[in-house]
Order: sequence, then structure tokens, then C-alpha cells
Amino acid sequence: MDVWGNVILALVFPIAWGLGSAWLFDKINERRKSRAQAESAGADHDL
Amino acid sequence: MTFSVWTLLGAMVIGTGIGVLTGMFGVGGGFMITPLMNIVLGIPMQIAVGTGLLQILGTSSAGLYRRRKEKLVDLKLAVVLFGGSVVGSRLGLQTLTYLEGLGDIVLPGGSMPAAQFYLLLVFFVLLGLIAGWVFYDTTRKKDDDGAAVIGLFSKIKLPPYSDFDSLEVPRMSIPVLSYFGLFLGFITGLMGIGGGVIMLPSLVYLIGMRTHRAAATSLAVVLLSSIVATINHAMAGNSSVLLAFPLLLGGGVGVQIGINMADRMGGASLRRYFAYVVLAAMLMVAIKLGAALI
Repeated sequence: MDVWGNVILALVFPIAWGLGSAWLFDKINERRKSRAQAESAGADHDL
Repeated sequence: MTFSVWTLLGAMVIGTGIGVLTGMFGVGGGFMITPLMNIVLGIPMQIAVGTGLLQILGTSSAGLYRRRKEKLVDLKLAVVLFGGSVVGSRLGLQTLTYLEGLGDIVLPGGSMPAAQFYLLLVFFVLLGLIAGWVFYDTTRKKDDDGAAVIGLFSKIKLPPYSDFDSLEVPRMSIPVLSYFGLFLGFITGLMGIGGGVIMLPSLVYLIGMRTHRAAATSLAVVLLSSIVATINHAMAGNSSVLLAFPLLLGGGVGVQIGINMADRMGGASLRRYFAYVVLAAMLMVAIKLGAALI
């Protein structure tokens, strides 16, 4: 790859990856919290 | 490339020592492996870089496995940094390849491969900066549990942001973290260091994480960035599995010793010992460079 290709790759890929992975982790954590809340609500209901 | 029995034994001793560093400080040890293999064992710089990365993979994996139940690793942060390090690693290897192509450089004390000379110079400056900053910080009065300062990066207002629960100030700029990952990857690809020697003080002072959490998270970042750099260097023919084996054998033992030692220390003590180790590495590089320049 030529110099300009490397420059564009260096500028674009890190941010794209950073944003994508941060978003994915936040989504996974949200789902985990919802599931935990649903389970705890279900347990309270049973009691 | 073939190696003598003494070289392989020397590699095992080096591997054990580096493993202890990995266990104690969460650094891959590459900042010591590369110059040690080059200066003490006489291994060509590009082979030292590529092979050292194999050792870093082994010790950081072992360290992370040992810490898996402690839940100290901020995996989100490690993964965000990883993207930039992939590109940076590639650029670092390209730079190293270019330096190799320059051949030997003539100095007052004799000639030396240009790649070796320039990299040792960069090592010297880098190690000096790190040791200086960590010593400065350990002389300041603060609690013993690690970073009480707000990380410098958290003051940079560059959206978009995301929250990282492990940080003193959770909100961090994604572009800042991503480009920092790029820098780490470049160092990894160019110098064969896992980035941990930069990662540990950076996580504490730049990003604002407590020392024990930073040690664990840096293992994850070192592992991820080293995987990419190792693949790149192996494809370039810079990795010797024969030499890596004794490094790994010693490293596996060393990392367990290091973790046990770290668990008994406070954050400030850990940082101080880390600075001493960095100074020792700097002295070794200075001696090698001095011999070539005089």
C-alpha cells in the first residue's frame, strides 16, 4: 500500500473500530442489565 | 538461523526475568527482551524484535489467565485500543523494514546496523521519559492504592465519548483512545515491545486508572496488540520459534512468581520498583550506544 493509503488507513480505521467496539460493549452491557432486572423481577413475583 | 546452547540458556534466563516483570507490572517485557537479546546474546535486531513478540504473547496470556477471576480487566477499553494498534503495528513493521534497508551506519566506535542504532536511541529516550515521570510521581504524597490523579486524556474534549467504569473519570474521548492505540501499535511493530511499558504508566497517568487495575488491563492490551504484531513479523521471517521456546519456558515460571510478588505490594511500591527496572534497562542501552559512539 502506498503512503497515502497508509495515512488514510491510520486516520480512519482506529476511530471506526473504537466507535464500533464501544457501541457493541454498551449494547451487551445493556442487555445483561435488562436480563438481570427481568430475572430479579421474576424472582420477586414468585416470592 | 541456528543458536548455540549458551544462547538458548541465556534466552531462558532472560525469559524468566521478563516473566517476573510481566507478572508484577503487567508489562510484556519487550522493552527489555529486545535490547537484552540484541546486546547480551548478539541476536540481530529484527530477529530480536520478532522473537521477543512470541515471548510477550506467552507471558501476557499466562498472566491474563491467572488474573481471569479477579475481574480487574477493563475489556472494553482494551478492545477499543486494539483497533488502532492493528494499523499502528503494520506501520511500525514497515518502518523497521525501511531501517533495515539502510544497512550499516559508520560511527566513531565502529559500524552498527542502522536499525539497531536508531532503535536503541529511541529505546534510550523512551525509557528515560518513563523512568523520570514515574520517579517524579512516586515522590509526590498520595495514598498508596494507586492513581489519585485524574488522567490527562480525560481533560481532552474531543467527541464522541464513551463511559469506562474502571476509570476515575469514566467519560473518555473515543478518538483520543483510538489514536493512542495507534501509537501503541506502532511502538509494538517497530520495537517489538508489547506497549506495556508505555501502557501501564499511561493507564495510570493519562487515562486515570488505579495501578492494580491498570496492571491487569495492560496485560489484555499487550496480548491483543502483540497477536497482530507477531503475525506481521512472522510473515516477514523475523520470528525464531527455536529461540522463543526457552524464552517462553522461563517466562511461564517467571510470571507466576511476579504475580505473587505484586499481590503483596501497594500501588506506590509497585510503581517505584517499575521505575528501577526501567532505569536498569536504560543503563544497559546507554552502555551499548556509548561503546559505539566513543
